[in-house]
Amino acid sequence: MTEPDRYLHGLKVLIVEDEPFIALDLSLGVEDAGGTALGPASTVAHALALIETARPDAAIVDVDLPDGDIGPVLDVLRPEVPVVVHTGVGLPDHLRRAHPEVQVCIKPTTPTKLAERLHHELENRRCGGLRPTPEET
Amino acid sequence: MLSGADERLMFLEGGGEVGAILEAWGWHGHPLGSPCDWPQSLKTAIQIILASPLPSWMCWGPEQYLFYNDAYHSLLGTAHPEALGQPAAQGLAAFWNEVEPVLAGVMEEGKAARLRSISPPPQGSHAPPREMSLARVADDHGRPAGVLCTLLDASVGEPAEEKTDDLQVLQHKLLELTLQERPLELILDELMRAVRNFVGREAACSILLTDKEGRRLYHGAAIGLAKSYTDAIDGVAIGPAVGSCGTAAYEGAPVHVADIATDPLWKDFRDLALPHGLRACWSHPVVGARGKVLGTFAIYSPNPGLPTRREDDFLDLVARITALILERYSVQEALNDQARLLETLNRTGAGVAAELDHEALVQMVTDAGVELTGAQFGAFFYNVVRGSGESYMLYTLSGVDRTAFSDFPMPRNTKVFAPTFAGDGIVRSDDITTDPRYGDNAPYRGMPEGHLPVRSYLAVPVISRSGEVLGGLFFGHAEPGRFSTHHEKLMDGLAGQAAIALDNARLYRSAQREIEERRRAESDLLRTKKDLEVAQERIELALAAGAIVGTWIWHIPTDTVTADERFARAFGLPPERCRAGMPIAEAAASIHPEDWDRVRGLIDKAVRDGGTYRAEYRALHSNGCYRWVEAVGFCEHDAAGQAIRFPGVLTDIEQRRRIESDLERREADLALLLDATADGFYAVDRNGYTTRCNAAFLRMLGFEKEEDVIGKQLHEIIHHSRADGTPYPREHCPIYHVAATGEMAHVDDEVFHRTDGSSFPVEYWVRPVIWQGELQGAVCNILDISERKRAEEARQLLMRELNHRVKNLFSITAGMIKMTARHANSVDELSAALTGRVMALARAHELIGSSITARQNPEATGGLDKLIEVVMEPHIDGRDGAIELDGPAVELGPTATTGLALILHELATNAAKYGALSAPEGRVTVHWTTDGDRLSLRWAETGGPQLMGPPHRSGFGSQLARLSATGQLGGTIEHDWSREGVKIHLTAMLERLSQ
Repeated sequence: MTEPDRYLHGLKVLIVEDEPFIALDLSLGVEDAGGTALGPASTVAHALALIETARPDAAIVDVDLPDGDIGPVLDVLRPEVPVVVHTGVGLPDHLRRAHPEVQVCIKPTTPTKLAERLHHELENRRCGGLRPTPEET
Repeated sequence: MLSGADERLMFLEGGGEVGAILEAWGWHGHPLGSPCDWPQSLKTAIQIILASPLPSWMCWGPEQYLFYNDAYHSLLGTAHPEALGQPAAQGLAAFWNEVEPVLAGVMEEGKAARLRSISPPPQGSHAPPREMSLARVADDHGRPAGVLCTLLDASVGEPAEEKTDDLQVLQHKLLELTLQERPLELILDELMRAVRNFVGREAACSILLTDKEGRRLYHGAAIGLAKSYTDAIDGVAIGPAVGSCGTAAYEGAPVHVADIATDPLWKDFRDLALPHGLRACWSHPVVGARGKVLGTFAIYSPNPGLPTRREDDFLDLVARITALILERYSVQEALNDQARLLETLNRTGAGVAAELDHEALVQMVTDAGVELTGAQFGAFFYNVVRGSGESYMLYTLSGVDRTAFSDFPMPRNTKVFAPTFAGDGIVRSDDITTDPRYGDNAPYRGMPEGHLPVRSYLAVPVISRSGEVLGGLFFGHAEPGRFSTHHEKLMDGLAGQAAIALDNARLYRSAQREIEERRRAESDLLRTKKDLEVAQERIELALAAGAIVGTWIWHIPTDTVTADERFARAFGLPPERCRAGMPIAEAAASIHPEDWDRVRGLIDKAVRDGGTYRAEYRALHSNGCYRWVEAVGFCEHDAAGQAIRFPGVLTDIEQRRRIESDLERREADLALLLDATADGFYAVDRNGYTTRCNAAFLRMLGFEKEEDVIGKQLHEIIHHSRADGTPYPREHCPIYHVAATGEMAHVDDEVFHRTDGSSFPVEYWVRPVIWQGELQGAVCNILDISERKRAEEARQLLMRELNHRVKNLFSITAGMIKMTARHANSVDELSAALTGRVMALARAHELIGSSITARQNPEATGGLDKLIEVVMEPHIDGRDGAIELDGPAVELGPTATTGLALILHELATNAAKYGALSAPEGRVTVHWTTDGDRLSLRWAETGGPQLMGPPHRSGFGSQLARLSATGQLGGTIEHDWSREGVKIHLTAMLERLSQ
């Protein structure tokens, strides 16, 4: 059993969130889980630039951003990179259709929880997807 | 014979003991029923048996009921009379086994049979051996019905068919003939041959038949007589001295003339008879039922003399048998005719009765005629009188194609056709070309060339019940002598049927015309009737209310108006003056001057045109007051069109006028009221036709005027589709439903369509209109709920948005608490920082809330200046001039407001803690400009404590502000830590600010 402060050990986690408080909270949350926060990016353009240069191992993203929805980011990351969508309203239908497997957590969800979700997805990949994802809380 | 029952039993008359038994027998319960109602063929057969001197019996019907005569009953012994009318198997039990198979054979094959070796009847051992002769008997329809058996004296020996002179054998032969189903001529011929055998070669015989009227004798059958002789006496009169036969028929008794050469009875005929070697003539009348002479039977002898006793008996026998034959034949013929007539006529008649179309009717009749007469072709010519007065005939044809006649002109009233079209009677000719009337008319002198050959001709007038000749039925055949009296009779019947049917058809047609006429007149009538009813009602009301003021009669040629006493009283005129009469000018003096011109116009019009007159006007009464009266009159014209008389009635209508004006006022009030309401109002009758509506309704739906909707069904115009655009069939329309059923309806989810095609959401109520317990229709109140719908939609939008914001706010708050806690050194610090931030959010949110609710109103949107004011307010703490704002109006969206509020809050917090606002004289100026797509805001602090350069560590607040500015707002934030106070330059994208 991995300790919460090692959920994201050694991983570069991209944060895409335009709300400063939440973005900062998430960044610190990623660091608390042993990872390195990329960003936080507050726009799609910024996020794409970061992905290009820094190659994240995982991502926590919001849906609605000042320059559009998160679609282009998901298109680049998925399905190789584990992503948790952290949203107030849920995933719009067109994104849900495009990315049926992506994990969604409704705001507010604690950074620890989000880190755990990413950690489980990574674990699953390592074990060939046999381990069940924990229940959403 | 007086009663019908007696007449029907006449066949038993002279039937001896057995006849009397049959008549007296109680036939109740017997399957054959009462003898009165027996089939004619059974009656005839029994009559023949009873009349026969030879022992005879007959079995009849499937049950083989036994009948026999007196001569046979003596042979039956004790079995008589029980055997009578019983199944033959019982009555003839003694030899039934022998007889039965033969009987069955005769019945089956119809061939006569003889049975020689039969057991002698039980009681008749003394009787000579006998032989049974069996022959089949037919029923009324010619179907086998029974077997007749005659017992012959076997001792006479083998009866040679051709040579016998035995009276008994002859009689049997004749009896058989009688019962055969063959044409009369053949039977008579055969009778002649049988008789000839008996009387010998040298003698001659003849049968003459009486005509229908009983006036003349016609050739029936003869043997041994030259054709020239029979032709010559054909049609000889019946009279007191007309040879032997004419006289015998006249007297109803035998006339034996011993010598034609000398007998005075033959005075007129002896020159005719003697050359043929005829010297004696013994004639017996053929007397049928009720003593009617049917004809004569005569023997001519080449030698003078009287008949021997045996010859006399023979004459008597043959005459009697001939009578039976003729009677049976005439009955049979009548029956056959009747049956055929019935059959064809029934068939035709059924069609004819049902057929009311002339052409089809006439065709049917013509076809039936051709069938019944065996004609090659038949035609019906229909009497039509053209406008010119000439008589033409249209025709239908049967048995031949119409083209066979199409080249010929219509037949004219030639001598041949005339009697038919004149309805004089039937014309029948064996050969029309020999008729004296034939070929008498130009131009054809007979049939036109190419006409189908006609020799046999039969024409029957078709005469209506009214006596009018409707037309004629014509039948033709290329062979002469094809049509008989019998056909005449048939066609007579058919013509009668046709006449009735044509009459019916005509009646039907005229009835149809009349109905049509009536239908046309009906609408006029209805209108007139309505007027009349109203007038009638008024008069009745007036009478009931005693409202009649008086009556007048104006005699126009003398200009004298006479009036009754009430009239005089009402207008204060002297009664005697009214009685005596006065000029119209005087009588009309009471009419109100303002009304006079109008009334005079109406009077003049009635006088000029004649007919009804009605005027309402005020008339001065004896009490000096004007009251409303109604004058109703009628101006009569004479034949020359001159106005003669003008009677009328005056009615007081003061009250009615008041009521009417009340009604009018109320109606006006109502209309005003309806028009004043904002609701659309619309009423329909039970069938959905609009009866009234108000101005709002017209306006709502885009109609120009009331006339566009009154009397119309509007569903197809204003209510044809539902809100979702699907068709709205009128059968489902709640308005029409209420109007038809009286139920109520309330609908708020439909749309109405304007005349320009646009639609709007409505809420409407439909209530039934009930007047005196009867449903009249429905009224519909309509509200245009577009505004309400819009408001509802806006509210829902707002709810969704607020919901979203609140959720977002909680997320932010959660993050804020977390972040603040990370950077706080004590609980007090945490509390203070958190409170400040939450308050800033709350203030910002106040602006956001109002900006959402006021979205429709751009001026009320929260601007940048307002945001700075509310966020800074707690830090200024009421100090005037501590803050100076300057810049153009910049609109902020909800997201930007939150972000900007937090940035400003951080700046203000720093200013209050360490900067200008920490000193009493410190000031903050905030200036901003917009440049294309960017906002540029400069924050400058003065009058605060001197700064020693930038802070050692960038605090969380600054970090937060930077993140907000660069991320959310797409801009930058720069600090200039100058000694006199910090200067901050913030930029943001205008586009982000509006989010």
